[in-house]
Amino acid sequence: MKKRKALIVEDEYIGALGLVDMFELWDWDVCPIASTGEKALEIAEREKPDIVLMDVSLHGSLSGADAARLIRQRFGIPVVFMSGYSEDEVRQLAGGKGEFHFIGKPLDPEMVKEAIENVLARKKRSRNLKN
Amino acid sequence: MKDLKNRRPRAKKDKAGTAFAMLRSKAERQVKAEGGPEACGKGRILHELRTHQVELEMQNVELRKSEEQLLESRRKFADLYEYAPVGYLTLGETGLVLNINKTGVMLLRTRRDLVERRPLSSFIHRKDWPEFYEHLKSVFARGTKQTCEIAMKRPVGGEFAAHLESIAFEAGGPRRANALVAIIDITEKKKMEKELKQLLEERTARLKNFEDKNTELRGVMFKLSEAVKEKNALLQELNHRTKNNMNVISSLMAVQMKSIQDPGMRQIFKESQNRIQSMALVHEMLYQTKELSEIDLKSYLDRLARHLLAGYREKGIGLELDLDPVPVSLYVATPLGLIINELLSNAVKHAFPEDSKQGIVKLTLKKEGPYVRLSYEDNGIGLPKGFQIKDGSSLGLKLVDGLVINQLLGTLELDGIRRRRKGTRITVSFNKERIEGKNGQ
Repeated sequence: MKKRKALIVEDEYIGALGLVDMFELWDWDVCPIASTGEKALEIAEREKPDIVLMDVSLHGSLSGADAARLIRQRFGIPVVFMSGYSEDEVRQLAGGKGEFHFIGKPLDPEMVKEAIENVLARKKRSRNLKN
Repeated sequence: MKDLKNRRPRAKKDKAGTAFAMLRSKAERQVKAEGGPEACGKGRILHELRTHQVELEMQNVELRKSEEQLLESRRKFADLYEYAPVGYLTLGETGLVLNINKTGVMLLRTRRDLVERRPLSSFIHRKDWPEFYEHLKSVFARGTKQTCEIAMKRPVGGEFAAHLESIAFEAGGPRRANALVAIIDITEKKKMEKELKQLLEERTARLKNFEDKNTELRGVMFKLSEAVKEKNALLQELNHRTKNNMNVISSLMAVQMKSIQDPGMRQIFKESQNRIQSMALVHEMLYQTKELSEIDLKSYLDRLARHLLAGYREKGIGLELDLDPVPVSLYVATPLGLIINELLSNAVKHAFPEDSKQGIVKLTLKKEGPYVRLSYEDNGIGLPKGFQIKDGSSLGLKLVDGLVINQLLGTLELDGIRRRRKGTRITVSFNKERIEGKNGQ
């Protein structure tokens, strides 16, 4: 079975490193870490990950919310936001339209796993419905 | 018949007498020049009559001249009266206008015959009657100049503000007092006064408004400065607590280390402790310098490097610093602190395997515009041949690479990779402003 692939967008390198370890432990492939929204778009296009974990607060001209919207629109890849801010605050930043997935920081491996499985299951269901 | 000579006015030694005498001799000279009759008998009488006639003619001429002079003088005074720059009138004791000059008539925009023999009060606004009668009363009672300001109305409509100056004078016999009254149109003056008053009121109101706003603003400023003070105090406290919490974590690790015998594990714990302490130092400096969000990289790196090498005092590695002051935020200071921590730990572990007492580590920090360059140099054994930082098994250099590329969005240059030559140089460059201008939250 083909390994699933995750893209981590995070400008705190050590935090990202922890997530990479987490995914590798679950036997996922992990794309190179992206620390800006622009880099995230570039890697998402090239690597076509199954899921994107997106920090809301990023360097550069693209915010996490903007990058997430573009990734969903252009490549149809589900995005899970990660933030130390509350879910409501992040939902507001994300624009409040369409799908919204969120995991609060500090990250708990079990919570991350559960959120990701949910998102992927939902994606699979909607794909089946379309077919 | 009386002697004509005797009918002549007696020559007095006064001016008039002298004038008559002069006139007589002048007349006689003229009659003589005409070649009149002899001065005896009938001839003498004729001569006298002729002289008298000439004298009378001369007198007549003189009188006409005087009359003309008088008329001219009267005209002059009449003009002075009629065309005076103020309205001028004479009032009877009852307030009746006895006469008025042309300027006064023009002021009232009427005809002279419609003013004279009428009470002045009929040209005064009813509301000002009491004041006018009071004025009139004091004019006749005091005999000195009195003034008042009243509104006067014109028969054709409209009114004007007038200033009256009046004085009583005795006219024609006992107990008959009249008043001379000057009327000055002060409408323009009043208008200007009103405008000035209005302006003053507006200015005063505006000033008051400003003052009110100022007070309000001062209140807001005070509240804001209190809020800022409170926020600053909280941030200070937060930095203090963060530092303390990190120290607690570090202490917990130290306690746990006691039960660890394996030197490799102890090393991992020690390195982790150093990493935590390098971050705690950022918060400690923020707290100590009372700066809320910026610290000087020069002081931070100076303290950090000395602290780290002090932990390995037995190695005796020398430290050289050439650091420029660079104020940076937490976003820059923390990863840079971790980078220096890794580089120095690496040096302690690997750079001087033989005689570390000869070892020297040098840190250079330079800033050009938004660009910051931090160099690490040592005189150790250099990096292994074909060394690739990403492939390195050490977490330390992997962290350095990841922090520079991903967190500082900068570049990392390594010297001394190709061959094992003396020394290593690692240079980190990044744009400070790019990191500090964070987007979104």
